Amino acid sequence: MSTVITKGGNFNITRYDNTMNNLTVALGWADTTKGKDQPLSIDSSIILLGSNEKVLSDDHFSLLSALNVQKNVTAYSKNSYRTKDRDAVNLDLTVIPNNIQKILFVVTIFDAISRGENFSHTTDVYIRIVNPKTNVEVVRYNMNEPESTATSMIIGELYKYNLDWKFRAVGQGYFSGIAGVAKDFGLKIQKK
Amino acid sequence: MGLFYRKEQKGNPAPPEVTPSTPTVLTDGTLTRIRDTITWARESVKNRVSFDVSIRTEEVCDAVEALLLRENDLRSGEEAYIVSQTVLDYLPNALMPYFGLPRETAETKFLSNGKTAEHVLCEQLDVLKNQIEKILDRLIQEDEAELIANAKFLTDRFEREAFELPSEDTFGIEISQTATLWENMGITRVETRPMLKRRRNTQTLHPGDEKR
Repeated sequence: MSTVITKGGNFNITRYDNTMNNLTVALGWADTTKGKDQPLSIDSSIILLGSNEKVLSDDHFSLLSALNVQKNVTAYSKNSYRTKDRDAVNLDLTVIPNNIQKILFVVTIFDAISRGENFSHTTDVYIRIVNPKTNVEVVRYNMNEPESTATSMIIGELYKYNLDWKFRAVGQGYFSGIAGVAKDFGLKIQKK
Repeated sequence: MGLFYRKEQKGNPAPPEVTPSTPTVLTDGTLTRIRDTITWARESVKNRVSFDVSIRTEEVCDAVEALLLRENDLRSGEEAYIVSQTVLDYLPNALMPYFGLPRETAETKFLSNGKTAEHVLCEQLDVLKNQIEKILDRLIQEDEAELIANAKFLTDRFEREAFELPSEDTFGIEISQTATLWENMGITRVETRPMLKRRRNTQTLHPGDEKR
């Protein structure tokens, strides 16, 4: 049975199942702007941090949509269409380099300022971790109260704690979009 | 100029009647009279005067109309007065005496100052145009100063406070180059097909299905 944690809470994945070397992290949300000319567009991104809580390099930031697609079929990937998941990423914990200590999952409203949109236009924003082999949900964080005027949100993070991998429900909003997140973690997104 | 003034001559309609005044602001009424006078000047020179006079009159009218687009920026006081006087007083008083002369006389007969009437009128029109253009130049300089100040503000603000989000295309190009790197780090995307996007109540027909 899945564990539901609240903002700030954490969950030890390794203790839950120390044989689970692969994780699928899935993100979802519902758009409350239906009927508008332009439906809400949200980008999911992932940032890899080193031990100093800073991004290792500009290459350690990516949109989920820009990653290569997982090649092997899993129970999750076969059934993902049955879920409300919008984006999902697979992590092979045995391959992730040792210098990566934390993995941030960020959702950002595209073109938020010019469209005048923020997370008050969303509902049911969540992040969940699934065992890809069994398609069983391990842990979930439902962001019940999104910060209404935030345009970017660190929704959750995976981090190393001694030899364990843990998951924390973050839910930290940024009003300056991905730029604010980038600034906090030392990412030098190129200026136009 | 009164020497040439023949009010009654046919074919030379008088300019809109103007009540002498020294406005310190351009009121709606004054602006209407200015526009009427410009229209009158353009019509009056059409096909009736030499090219030199015609082109100079058009230039004065163009300059005034350019200025009227910025009527809200005109300083009340001296500049408003100059515009008003130039169009409502000086321009008609320069053109009307010229219209009273036979064209050949105006272009060939030398006056006591050694210049033809056409030459004198062209000089007057040049003065009027320069007067209007000085005001236009002042407004343009103000525009430039405002533009530079705004650019400086934006530069300061964004360079100090914010990063700009690259366009989706920029992201796509840059990230795709590192997608392999991410795959090597054990991180890949899983295709999702949100329930909300699925087509419902549809069936996929395969070849031969319709025959069953």
